[in-house]
Amino acid sequence: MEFDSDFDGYLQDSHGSPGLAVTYTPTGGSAKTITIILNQEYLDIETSGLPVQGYQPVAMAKTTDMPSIAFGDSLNAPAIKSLSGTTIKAATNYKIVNFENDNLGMTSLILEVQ
Amino acid sequence: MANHLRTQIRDQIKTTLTGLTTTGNRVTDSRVYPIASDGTPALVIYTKEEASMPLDMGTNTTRIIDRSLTVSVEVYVKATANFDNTLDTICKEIEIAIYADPTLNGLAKDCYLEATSIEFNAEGEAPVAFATLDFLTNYMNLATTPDSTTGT
Repeated sequence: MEFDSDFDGYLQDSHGSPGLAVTYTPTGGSAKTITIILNQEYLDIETSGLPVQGYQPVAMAKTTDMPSIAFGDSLNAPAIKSLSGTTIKAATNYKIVNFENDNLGMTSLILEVQ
Repeated sequence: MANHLRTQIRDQIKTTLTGLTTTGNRVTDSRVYPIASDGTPALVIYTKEEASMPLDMGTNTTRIIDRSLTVSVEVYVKATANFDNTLDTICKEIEIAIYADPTLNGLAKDCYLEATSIEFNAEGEAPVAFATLDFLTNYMNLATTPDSTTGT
């Protein structure tokens, strides 16, 4: 069984995982800093015609970090840089358009770029 | 020898729809590859369905073929906001452009909007709005000369 403190380890950069400190702002609430793992794999956005190139940003976060999560909450992520300081991805604001709770302590946040 | 009339019609519509305010030069025809992420709003033109029938009995040299070609204009918009309004704006621009010359520079007897379908997809980093405008295009040719239009 995993405990909440175990998830801290998964998400902390100091523990070797690609944790990313971001600002989470609930709709109508106060901003706070949480740590996430951000993935954004390539995605063909399907239509009845041709697919449109895209990617799907998904953040893994501790469920307890966002107990009142709701559609429309925002995440502000800082720039992602290489060890030499080169910007790989500029700072980005996201809107949470869906969230999937695994009921074991982690929540996947489906994000839309703002 | 000129191209098939279907090709000429597709080319003419592409010419008509190139340079519209919202989609500009992002117009292709018969595209089979994905739309680039930064390549919208864009239009893609297809001629995939056509019905035809002889207007009268006779030999091939005198028989007139009456053809009904569906020209599909696909509209792609990828945007975080106002994708629905942008899609409608593009549809407006397309309709105005086509109806400014419904005979397609003399290639067709008539061309009119037969159907419009619209859909949305929320997957990905930004929503995608998609529309298909089907223009029914009527034209005629002698059976032996499908590259040249004829009157009735």
